[in-house]
Amino acid sequence: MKVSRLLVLVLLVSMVGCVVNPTRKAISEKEAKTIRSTQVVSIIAQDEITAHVVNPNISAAAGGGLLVALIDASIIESRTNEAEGFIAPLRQGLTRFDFRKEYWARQSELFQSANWMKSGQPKNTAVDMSATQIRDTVATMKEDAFLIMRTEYYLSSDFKRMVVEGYAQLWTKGQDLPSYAAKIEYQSATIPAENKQDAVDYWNKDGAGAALATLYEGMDEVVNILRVDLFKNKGIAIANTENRISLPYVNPEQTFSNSIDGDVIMENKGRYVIKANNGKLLSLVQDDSFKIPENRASKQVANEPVNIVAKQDSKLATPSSKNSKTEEKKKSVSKSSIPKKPVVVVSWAEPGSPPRYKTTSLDVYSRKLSGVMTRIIKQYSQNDPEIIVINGSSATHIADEVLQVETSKSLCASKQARYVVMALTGLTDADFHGSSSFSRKVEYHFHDCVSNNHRNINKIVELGNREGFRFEEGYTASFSDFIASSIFSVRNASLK
Amino acid sequence: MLLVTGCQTAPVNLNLLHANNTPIGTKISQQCHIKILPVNDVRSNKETLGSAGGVPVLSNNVTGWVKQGMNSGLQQRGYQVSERTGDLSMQVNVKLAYMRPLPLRLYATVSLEVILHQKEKQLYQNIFRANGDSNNWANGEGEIMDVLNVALNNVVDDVATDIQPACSR
Repeated sequence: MKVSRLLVLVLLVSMVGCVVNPTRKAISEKEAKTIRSTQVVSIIAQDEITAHVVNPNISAAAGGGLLVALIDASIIESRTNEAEGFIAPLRQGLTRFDFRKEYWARQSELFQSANWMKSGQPKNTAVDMSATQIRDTVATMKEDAFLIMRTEYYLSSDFKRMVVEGYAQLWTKGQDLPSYAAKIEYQSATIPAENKQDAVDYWNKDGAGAALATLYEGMDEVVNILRVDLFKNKGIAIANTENRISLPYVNPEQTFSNSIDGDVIMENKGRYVIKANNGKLLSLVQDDSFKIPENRASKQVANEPVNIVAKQDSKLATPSSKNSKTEEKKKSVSKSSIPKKPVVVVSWAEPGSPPRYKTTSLDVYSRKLSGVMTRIIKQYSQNDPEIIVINGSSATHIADEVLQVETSKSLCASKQARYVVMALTGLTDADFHGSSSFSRKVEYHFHDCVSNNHRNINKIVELGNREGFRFEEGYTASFSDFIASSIFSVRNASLK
Repeated sequence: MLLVTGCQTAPVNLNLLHANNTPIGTKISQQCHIKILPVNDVRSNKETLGSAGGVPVLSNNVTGWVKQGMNSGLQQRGYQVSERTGDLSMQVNVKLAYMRPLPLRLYATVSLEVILHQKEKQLYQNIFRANGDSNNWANGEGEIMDVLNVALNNVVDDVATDIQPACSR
């Protein structure tokens, strides 16, 4: 019976002939000049907060096929049911909150201001428009342009981040395809939570205060980015800047690669707007999963003043007397090629995970243990002038290891990392330097990018296992602390 | 999520009809008569009842459907429900009613505010909220109606239990 339902789902999915819209399309200056009036529709179809569910995409990785599609469907169902269970108390907590009303009030304020599109007030609605309805509207409208703004909000799949997402599309009269498109995505800072239940409790405490404050911030940010990108910059292409970044990143949607590659185009109160290479305008705050190096110069981009000066997280800024001697020693051996301020990039494996494929694996991996890694960052990285990358793998698929080695090499080569720590499938020093003799044994490696000193640290791990840290069953916090302190012992020894 | 859009066909226009499709909890023998006043629709989204397969679900009879559900549900649970006079009058405000399709299941949520008056005096006020879920074969209208009824019946069940003390006064 269940298989039949899955089959129906698979058939439904395969029959959907939806239009995949562009993430980002800039309007030409010439076309922008033809717009003297604009009709606006703002759509918020969802009634309550949802949680993102990660599509396992096994079928895509396996090259398609009904059987694997069934597995995908089954996994999605299981994850969705779990998410529905966890999110229920938060929905209850937000009962009196009306996202539509609050968001539309902000948007209305924006559209009241004089703008180059000469837009009127948006028609606010919960009813989405079909492609046919849009086509008909564009063909028959009195105005020169038609702007649709769709907005959603949801929790990331681990419930630790809130996302508010706006998708704007503008058609000029008689055109089949939009002349302008921008996907704007606000992501909150990652909250401290060990699991989904903790996260829901956090969002929900004190009358859902944290959830409300974050949602308000998200709404403001999306509307503000729309104001800058569409109203101020007329939706015209944002030039690439010298403020390009390529940083490993824990992405709550887990739908694209494990890094953000793009241009930092705005900065405000510690929040950065990045025009990602995939077209999204991402608004991120620096936290455990994302940090912009401090040595970036201020740039003027797309008419918007940009102040790319990363702020030291106050939580990480307290000097540690314990480390002060080490600090002095490090200074004495510091290399000019090493960035002066810290960026800590952490990626760790999720033990016991099913095999993963292609290049999305690091995102999947790094999510569950970010809390543990936070502890490591806080404990060991304060005022550390180096950049540390901690990588991990559940050693289930060679592709992951290859990817991690490549990532690590790249980070070393670009001087973004000083140290790389990897838990890999039988990787040897030779592998790191270009060989590919993988075995199925998990090994731990520590690599000093500057000295190019690479060493196996399996003994540290073995010691950890003997101490009862149960590596195979999971990275416990204490085990991670143990590994981290060992790593830093090695590091300090190497600096002597 | 927002990138795949505009793929839906015409909205689903749902003819909302209440059905008792959930098991009734403990039957309560109540002697008091309740008059259910016309139901108010105070939803922030009065346009849709959610969406199914990317298609908005529409209906213009939410208040009638809720009243039908309250009438029938309370009676089935042992209350004396009357259109004319009652010991108590019940004001029902619909705060939320929507469904959402998941890959293999449909979920629905209904939230009602219930206020009981005895003559001019307010005896009771509470907000109820309940979910329903059922298999999703094809986002069909019957399935959508079914899951909305499950959610409504679950709310009515909670109401019936909660208003007992007020009805016993």
